[in-house]
Order: sequence, then C-alpha cells, then structure tokens
Amino acid sequence: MASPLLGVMEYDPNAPSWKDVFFERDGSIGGLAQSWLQDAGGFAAVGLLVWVIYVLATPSPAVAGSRRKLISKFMAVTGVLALITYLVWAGFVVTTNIEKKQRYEAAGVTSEQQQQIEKQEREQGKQRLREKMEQGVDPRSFAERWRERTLAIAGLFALLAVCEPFFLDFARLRWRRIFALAKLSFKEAVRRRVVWVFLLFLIVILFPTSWFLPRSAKPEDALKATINVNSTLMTVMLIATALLLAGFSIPTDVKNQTIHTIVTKPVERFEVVMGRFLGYLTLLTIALVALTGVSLLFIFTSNISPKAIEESRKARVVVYGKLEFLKERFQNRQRESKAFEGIDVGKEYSYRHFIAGGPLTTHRAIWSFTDPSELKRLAELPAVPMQFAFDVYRTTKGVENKGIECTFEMTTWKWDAAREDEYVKEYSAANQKSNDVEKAELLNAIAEKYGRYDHKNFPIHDYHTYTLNVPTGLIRNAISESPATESLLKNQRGSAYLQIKLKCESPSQFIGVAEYDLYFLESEGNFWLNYFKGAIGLWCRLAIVIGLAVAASTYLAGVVSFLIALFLFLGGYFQDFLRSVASDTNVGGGPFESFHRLVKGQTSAGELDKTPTVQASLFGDEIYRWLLNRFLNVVPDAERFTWSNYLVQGFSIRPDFILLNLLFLVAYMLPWAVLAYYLMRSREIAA
Amino acid sequence: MEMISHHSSGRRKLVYISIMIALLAVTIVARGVVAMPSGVKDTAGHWSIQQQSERLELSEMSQGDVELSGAAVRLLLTGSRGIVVCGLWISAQEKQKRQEWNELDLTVKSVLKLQPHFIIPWLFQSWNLAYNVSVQMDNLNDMYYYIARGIGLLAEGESINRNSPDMRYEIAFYYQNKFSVSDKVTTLRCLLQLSCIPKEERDYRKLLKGGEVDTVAFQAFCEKHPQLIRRMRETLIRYGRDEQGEDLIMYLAVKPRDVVDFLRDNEVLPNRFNEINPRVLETNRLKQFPVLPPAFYTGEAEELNPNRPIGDGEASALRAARAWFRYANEVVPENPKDSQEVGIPGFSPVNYRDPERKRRMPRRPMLIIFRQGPARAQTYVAEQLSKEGWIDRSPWNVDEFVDVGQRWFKNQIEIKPTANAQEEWERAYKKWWDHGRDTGLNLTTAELHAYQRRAELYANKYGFRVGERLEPLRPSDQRDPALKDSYEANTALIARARNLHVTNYESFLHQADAEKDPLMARARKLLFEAERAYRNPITRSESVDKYLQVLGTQEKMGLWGELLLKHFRTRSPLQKDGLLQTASSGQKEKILEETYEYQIRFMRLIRDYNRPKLQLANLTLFDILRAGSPGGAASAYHLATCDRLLQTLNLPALNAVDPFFPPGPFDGVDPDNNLWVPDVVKMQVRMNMGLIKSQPMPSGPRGALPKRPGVGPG
Repeated sequence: MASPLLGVMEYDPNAPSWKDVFFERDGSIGGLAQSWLQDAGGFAAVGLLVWVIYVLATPSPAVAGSRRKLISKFMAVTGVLALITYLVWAGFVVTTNIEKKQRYEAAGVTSEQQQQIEKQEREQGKQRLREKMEQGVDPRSFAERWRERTLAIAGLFALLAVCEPFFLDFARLRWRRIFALAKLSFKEAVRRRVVWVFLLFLIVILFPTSWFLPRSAKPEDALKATINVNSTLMTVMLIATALLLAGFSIPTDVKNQTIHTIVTKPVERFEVVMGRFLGYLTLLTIALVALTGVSLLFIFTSNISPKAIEESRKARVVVYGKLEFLKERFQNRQRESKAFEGIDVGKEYSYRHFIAGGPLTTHRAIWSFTDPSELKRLAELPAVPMQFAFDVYRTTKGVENKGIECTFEMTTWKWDAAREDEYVKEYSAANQKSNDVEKAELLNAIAEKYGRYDHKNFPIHDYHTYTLNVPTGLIRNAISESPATESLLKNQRGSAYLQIKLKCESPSQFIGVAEYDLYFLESEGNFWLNYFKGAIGLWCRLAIVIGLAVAASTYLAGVVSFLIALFLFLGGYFQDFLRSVASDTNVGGGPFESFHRLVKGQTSAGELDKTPTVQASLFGDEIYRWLLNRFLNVVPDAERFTWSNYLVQGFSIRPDFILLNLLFLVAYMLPWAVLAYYLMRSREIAA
Repeated sequence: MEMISHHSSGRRKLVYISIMIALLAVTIVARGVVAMPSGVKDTAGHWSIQQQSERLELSEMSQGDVELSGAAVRLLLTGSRGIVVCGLWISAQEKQKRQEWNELDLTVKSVLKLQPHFIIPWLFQSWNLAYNVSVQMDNLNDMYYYIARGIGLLAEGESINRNSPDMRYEIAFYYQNKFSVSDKVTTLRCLLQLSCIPKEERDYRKLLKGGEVDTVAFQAFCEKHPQLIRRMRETLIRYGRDEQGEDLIMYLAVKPRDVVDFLRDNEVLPNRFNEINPRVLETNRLKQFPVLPPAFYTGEAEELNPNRPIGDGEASALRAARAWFRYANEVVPENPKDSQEVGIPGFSPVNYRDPERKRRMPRRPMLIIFRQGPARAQTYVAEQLSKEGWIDRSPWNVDEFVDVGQRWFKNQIEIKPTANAQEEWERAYKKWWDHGRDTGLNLTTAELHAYQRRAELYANKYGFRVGERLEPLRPSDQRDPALKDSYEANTALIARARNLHVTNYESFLHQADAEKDPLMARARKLLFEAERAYRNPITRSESVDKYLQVLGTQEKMGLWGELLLKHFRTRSPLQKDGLLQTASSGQKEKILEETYEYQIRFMRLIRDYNRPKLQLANLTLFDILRAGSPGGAASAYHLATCDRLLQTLNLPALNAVDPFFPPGPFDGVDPDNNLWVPDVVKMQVRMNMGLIKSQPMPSGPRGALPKRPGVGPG
C-alpha cells in the first residue's frame, strides 16, 4: 500500500474482504480458505510422509513397538484419504492439460506461441479470472474448477492427519502452566539488557522527524513524515529485539541445561513453546504500547504546522464507491454509453487510469454507491462532504496558476432523464441566488426532488485534496424507497443507488483517477485511538517474528533460528519481487539465466539463442522457480500488516479490517505451531 | 607441576600486558595525540594519522560542516551502511515511480545523510527533485517548492563537501536554468521574489479593506516592489493557440485583486526568514531560500549573501546564480598570468593537483566555460531587466497604454526602477572584459603579435604556420629555453583560438558593448513601449510612431540602422580599440535576426493598423467597378448585396497574406551598399516565426544559424 496523493488512500485493488475468505468473487465456495488448505495441506502431506517414513524406518524394537502409538488409526485413515484425493487431483491435472493441449491444437497454436500465451497467463491470468468472476462469469472448465477443490480437500485430509496428535495434546495444555512459563520468559527477558538498550534508542529517535531531518517535508507533510519515520524505526527496533529474544531463548535454555528443570516437571513440551511465545509477546506488547504512547505524546506536543494537522491528524471514516469508465455521448437527446478501461497516459505506475478533457469529451469516470445502509448513515448528516484528489496529466501548458476544471454529475436511481429541462431550469435559477444559505437550501430541495445534483467547473490541482459538500437531499432521494433491483442504476459492477460522474472540462488535459480517490466522508474518528489501532499492525508482525523464531529455535541453534526467522520475515517485504521471479515475469529471468546474460554481456530483455547452455540455464531456472514457489508459501505477508499509511493519510482503520487481518495471522501461525509441536516433541532434551 | 603452571600463567599475563602497553604507546604516537620532542616532532608528526588527515583533508571537519545526527546513524549502522543505502536508493526510485513525493524527499535525505561525502548522489538527487519531480506538479507553488528543495539539498551537500566546484556550479546552473528558460518562468520568478519579502510585508490581508483592495496600501506595495508588480502586470504569457492558430495570451495580474489573490495563494512558500520570528532573516543560511553562498568576497554589496536583506531590485535567481558561479570559481585552478598580469591562454590542466587541496578541477563543463559563469549570469541579469521593461533609469508609468476602465490607479503613478538594464549591461561588459583579460581570450594586437613572434621559432623549425599544429614538446627541445618558450607561445595561440571558438566570447563581449550604449537603450525602450502600445487598439498609432522612430523607413534610416552601422559593421568600437581581431559573426547574425524579426512584426502591425482603411478602399473600388459594369448596378439593392458579399469574400483573402511582406526598412541596402539583412537570415527568421515551413537553406556563408537566445521581442 502506498500514498501518492494527499488525503487519499491507495489500496490494493484486489485486497481481500470477509466474503473472500470462503467464497470466490462469483459467489461459489472457495476463496482464501481453499487456497490456505491447498498450501498448508501440501506441507502437511509432505510432513506426514516424512513422519511415516521416519516411523517405519526406525529399526529399534522399542520404537517399533510404539509405531502404533506414533501413527494412530485416525492418522492412518485420513492419510489414506488424503492420498486418494491427491490421486484424484492428479487425474484432474492430467485432464486439464489434455484439454488445454486440444484447445491449442484446435486453434493451430505453435509451441512458441503456446509459451507466450502461458507467460501471459502467469502475468495476468489471476487478475483476469478475478475480473471475470466479479461479473458473475467463471471461465474455468469443470475439470479446472474441481482440480482446485480436490487439492483443497486433499490438503484438509492431510492437515487432519498431521494435526490429530497436536489437537489431542492441545486439550492437555493448562493455561496456569503456560502463564508461569510466560512469566518466567518475561522476567528473563527483562533481565537481559538488550531490551532496554533498544528501547532507549527508540525513545530518542521517536522525536519529531524535523529534529533529525530538517526541511525534509513540506509543512503540510510534516506529520506524515514523522509518522512514517516513527513507524519504520519502531518496526526495525522492535523486530530486531523480538528476533534476538525469541531466537536465542530455547537454545540458551538447552545450552545452559536450565530446560531440564522444566521438562522434568509435569509440563507439556508444547507448553514451553507457548510460554516462550506468550512471554516475549507480552513484553514487546507492553513496549509497543508504551512507545506508541510516547510517540503520540511527541506528536501532540511538538510544533506541527496547522496545515499538517488539518491534513493528517484525523481519522476519516469514509464510504467508497465502485469505479468504472464510460464513453458517453448524446444521440437524439439519448445517452449512449460504452464501457472502457480509461486511458493509459504512459506513466510508469499505472494504478490510475485517465479520462480525456474538453467540453465535448465523451470520457467519464463513474463511482457507483451500491450499499443503501452506508447511504442511510450519510443521510443523517447536515451536508455530506465529498472528498477527492486526482492526478493530472497535461498535454499542453495550460493557463498558469489555474487548475484543471472538473464537472461532477450526481444522479440517483430515481432520476428521470425526461425531466432534464425542468431540472436545468430550476438548478440555474437556484445558482443565481446571491444568498449562500438560501442557495444551498434550494439546491438541496432540487436534489431531493429530482435525484440529481451537479457541480460544474471545479478547478483542481494534483496532489491536493478537495472537499465538496453534497446536498443531503440527494442521498435522501437515493434511499427514500426500496427499489426493485431492475430499477437501480446499472453498471458493470452491480446495481447502484447513487452514481457520481466525473468529466474533465479542460481541453487537451487528462485527469487520472482510481477507485479510492473519491469518497464520502461519513465522520472523523479519534486520531489517537486510530494511532493505537495502527500499532496493532506492528503487533501482528511482532507475533509473526516471535512465532517464527520460537518455532525454529525448538530444533535449531540460536543464531540459525535468528537468521531463519529474519530471512523469512524480510522475504515478506519482497513478495512482489519474489512472485515475479517465481512466475517468470521479471526482467532478466531466473538466477541461471541472469548469470548467463551477465557472463555473455547480454541485455536483460534481449532474446537468447537456444544453445545447450541456455537450455540448461532455463531448466535450472525452472527447478529454482518451483522451489521458490514453495518458499513463497512459507513467507509471511509482512506488507499486509503495515498500516502506517492509514495514519499517514488520516484514515480510520476499520475494526473488521483488523479482525480479518488477525484471522490471517492465526492462519499463518497455525502450521508453524504444529511444526514447533512436532519438533519439540521429537527433541531429546532430557537424554 | 601446579607451581610451574601457575608461573607460566603469570608470565603470560605479564607479556600480554606489556604488549598492550607497547601497542597503546605506538598508537598514541601514530595517531599524533601527544606532542613529540622537537627532534622527532617533524618526522613523526608528519606521518601521524592526525597530521595526515589534516593535510589530506580526510577528517570530517576538514571536508565541510559536520552533520551530527547523520554521523550518529552511520556509526550505529556499523558495517551495514552500504546495504542500507542501497535499499534506500531502490526505495527512493520506487517512491518516485509511484509519485510518493513526500516520502521520496525523506528517503533521499536519508540516503545522503548516510553517504554525505559522495558527490554524485547529491548531484543526482538534487537534479531529480528540482527537475524531474518539480515538473510533475500541476500547482506552481508545489513546483516552486520542489525546485527550492533540489537547490537547497545541493547547497546542504556543498556545505558538507567544502571546495567542490561541481556542486557550486550546479547550484548556480539550477538557478539560472529554472528561472530563466524553463516553462512557467514568469510565475516562478515572482515566487522567488516573494521568498525574499518578509511575510509580514507580503501579507495580503494588509492590502484589503472591507473585502476590497485598499488602493493606498496597494500603491505603497507597488512602489516597494515594482519589479514584481510590473512582471505580473505586463509580462505576456503565451499558453497555447486557439482554433484559428492565434496565440492564447494572459497576464498574471489584470487588476489589483489578482495581485492580492496571488499573495494569498502563495502565502506559504520557502523563504529567507526565520520560522518563529518571520521578521528576521534565518540565521542558518541553508534554511533560507534562495539559498546563497557565504559572504566570501570583500565588498558585501557586490553579491547577494545570506546576511543581508534582498530588495526588489536584487531579488533575482540570476543574481543568486552569479554569486554561486563566482563562488565556484574560487575553488578551480587559477589561470596562469604573465608578467603584465594578463592571463596566458591555455588548455584545461591535466592531472591537476593543488598542494593545498583548496582548488580542484571541475568534472564539467570544460574549465574555460566554467570560468565564464559569472559574466554569463550577469548578461542574463541585464537581458531579463531589458525584457521586463527596466531598460534605463526612467520611471515606470503603471497605467501607461492602458484603457481608462482597466487602470489600477486614478492618477498617473510613476515608480522609480530598483534596477535597470543599462547599468547591468555596463557591469556585464566589465565582467566579460575582465574575464577575457584574466584568461587570455581578450588580447591587444600588440600582445597577440608578441605571442606570434615568440611562436615563430618553433613553427619554423618544424615547418608549419604559427598556431597551426599542436603536439607534445619533444624531449630534445625541452633543454633549449628559447625553443621551449616558443613552443609554449604556439600552444597558447592554439588554446586561445579553441577557447574563443567554444565560448563564443567575442559575441558576448560585443553584445554587452552594444547594449550598454545609451543609443541602444533608447531604441530598446522605444521598441518595448511600441509593443506595449500595440496591445491596446486605442494606442496603436503611438506604437506605429515608436516603431518608425526605431526602425525608420527605406528612405529614412532609424535608430536601429544607426546602431547596426555603429556596432555590427566593420567600424566596431572594439575593433577600433585594437581588440577582438576576429569578426564576431555570432553576435552579428543574432542582431540581424533580431532586426528582421522586428521588421516583420512592424510590417504586420502596419498591415493590421491599416486594415480597415484597406478594406474600405478595396470594397469601394470593387463596388464602383461592379456598378460601372454592364447591367451591374441597376439598383441600390443590388449594390448593397455586392458590398456584403465582397466583405465576406475579401476578409479571408486579406488574412491570408501572411507569408508575403511588402518591402520594409531593412529589405534594402545600407549606406555602404551592402544588404542590411542577408537572404539566408530572412529565411531563417521566417522559419523560426512559423511563417514558412522548413526547407533546404540557400547557399550562404553558413548553414545552420544559431537560435536567437532571447534579446528583443518575443
């Protein structure tokens, strides 16, 4: 997530919602839970296989005697079921490959073209599929759909098999013992001076950024800079502390043989892991809360420009619409609309799409508001602030010191185009009024009467947020009745109660928009509360790091655990790059291909001759990519928990967003907990 | 056994302690921490780390200002600084791609703090902010902010890296380039001027009374800041073309309210004043904008510096550029001089190494071009004043050539200039002259002959003409002082010819000489007024008169003709003085292009001015002919119909005569019977003005002509 424009959040357009957890975009069962079962189940299956081989290959009669104990009936049955389902899945894979081959043959596609198509599929396939499914169309064949589902079912069986002992032992865990161990970990950590050294550093560097980097931001950006720097530094310092504490905990206990005093007591081994995890997490949670408080104190007591306060020291609660682009023209007083994707003006970063300007332009950007409950909340306001910030692309210099002109046309589902003349007459008359209060009242009444409100020729500059007050009458009109679905405003992405059409009036200029660039401001929340909510994101990352380090330290040495946890966590910040390498969509190819290019002095985008060396390099990359894809499944999505942008841009973090991310956290941590359970269980500590 | 072990352990500890003490003593001496006895002082002191670091300027302090927070972070990062810097650099590029400007700014600053003594990142990122980022801004206040950030960042780098000619030169170049030739320059100049005015003084609220502009306060503001106000009021901004192909024009201020609005919209901007007490100048010069070099010269009033206020007459980026150019020249190698204190022409030194480490060779541009920075900036200062109407010492009449309804004041208000072009041209001339003498570009005939005489010995020995061949001095010739001297003279002549060629020095000197002439100032003023008068239909007759005074007719030569003969023919005063032996063809072509451009504009004006009369005459004649033709004007109704028809038909025809021009004052020959303006120049000007399409040039003395750099109309 990033923040290019002021007062505007830039979201991942494909960010998951609660609905996405169990359902696909077309409403069918699947979603993220299915993906999780596929990934976690895959690892569980491999783990199960290793476990079975380990048990069967152990020749010791003592151990052999306990084989039945090590592999229970439930585990055996679910394991067999998983195997069968994986075989069914393999059948679907073969079927889909045959189908694909037949399609290529029917279309007369050569093998080179085939490679090209598959590369495109890798690059855009998921996005296209998502778009299609959003429109209620599932382009996948029966075999393709069921291939995914059987893989998830197989994963579920494998997980059940692997997790059975874990869950059985879980019931034996006692919170009292875990609490005692956590308390011990807490006390030990407090006694280790490393925590205090890091925290002391942190308190110093939490001072406002302008103290260390003077004039590094515009006055209105001063608060953004401070929050950004604070958040980055807190992340670095707390994560480093967490890694050092958690990575070396159990190995140090083993080394100093202090763990013997614990495991000889009636304590479940997993309770040691849990105790360590919770103890360190508690300590760092206290540190995090304290530092967040100190940081807030600095923010509230430092001399920050009033513009910065106005811009960022708030927590906007907003209502978003769904964006689409239309080419619209009038033919015999009838509107004709045609969807398009917006113009790409050639900017490197293509998050925003542009519409062309001019009095006669046909281009429109349209935001549709589909949720009546959100609109009902807005209708209670005296006037509804609509905020927006767009990008501007000029093809001519334009008039100096004058912004690009925008016209907003807002209509509800009750708007009747046949009453256009009537509306225009009344609207023009209202605009003639010199008394602002009277004018606003009249416009409100007209908006409520017709279900339409226009704001013409509003000048804008890029990188600035503007506010327009929309008459509440318009919103009231939109929710005044419960319409039949067919009477709602139709668009590509559903049925809308209210639509806002944006037109650029300045000739030869372009306006760039994205879905979240325009919104209704429902209310303004509490900044300090939001600041603490932002700290939950960092807390989630701390939990991941501690969890990873403790899990690794159950079997590995302290330094190795520290490095593994660090490596995995940092990998989370480079997921985009790793994914591009894993899907062969990056420039220059995989490591072998890149090395070959380096040695040969070839450019990264040049065509390679199909020599044996090149073929070997490409084959090596294929293997590497397969491994990287598996690695990607264990890398935490650290970026997902970076919420400082909400604070920087002054947007409230929604509770459901926090809960959803906590669910993702649990989903990620669960397999690691199971792994830690097995590793701790198999470790011969008391020997 | 135990005793032996005990003894050996004690001995070992003793040895270790002795080694530690010895090493400590050695490091104390090597570091140069303690004073040495006089006998060993020189040798030990010379090679001590401290002495070496001071001598080679390796310590943080000797390289420039020390920046504590950056140093602390660098120490904290220990050996991982490189990794962090690489990461931050990549992150900065990513942020730029995603247009996250505030974060880019912060990241760039962090990168530079971590590697403060690498020059290239400072140059790269300052350019990036001042050029690449600033142009992304639609709002000019934002654009100005990022230009200021880019320049400020480089100035900060310069303070940490003392004696870097490149950084100083680049700062000067940014000022000169962004505020003189870049897009939207009129507003940017005004903003820079606002940066020099205390916030209290430019408070727009003080110019309002009851919501309306307070004329008294506004007049006082105008009188105090005439350059700012005149630029807003009179500088024409072309921002496109309409459907008919006509220029779309605007002014920043058409009425006083526009000035007030401009002040309101740009109330917050980078400036020179303290944040807490905006009445006083910021004490840290690096926090000021325009950021200036410290007062490095003797005469404080000579250049802008951070310690004194900058008034309306001096608030110009070009003056800031001049100061930085001059500051940059303080740290480049000095030009060698002869016994008469005249510079010896030469090439850029190779492998230059200043024993005191105060002076360095710049990376770019070549040294001779680098040296002319201050003079070039001074020429720009004069040109800018001339373009904005501050040509001589005469006052500015605020409402001159303006309709009654559009006047700003009830009475005629005249405001004295705070600077004028004529004085600046005199300064420019002096600067160019001194620069020429200091570098050997400007030699008298006698001095040149002396060089030629000296060079003959070497040239004759190897059988070539003087100044024809450049070759390394042969080892055998090095032993002969006379031959060596002759070789050096020959090299100096070649270097001078090359330096004249690459710098266009004669042209600049010639231009400054002509422009400082009071006759030229008069001509320029008349032309400026003619342009102003032409914009108002009511005062067009005045415009024609003024043009006629300057350009004259074919029969009667005007002021411009006199100037051409005086400065740009063979009788140049410079040549009469025995200087500038070669013809300054560059300047000659420039002035001829300008001449012809003025003529075209003048002829257009005449045509437009006389158009109604021409139309009337044309229609009358046509109607008469029509009425006189058989069966043509049998009725008055028929005649009237013809009249309207003819009007409709003839107007576009009259409009379409653009490429055709009746003979103008400079289409003929001068008193010496030479063409005033050669055909090749005429063609070029017409192409430049878009009157004819580009086509192969007719054969002439030169192929492509240089583009006119900005003096004159346009």
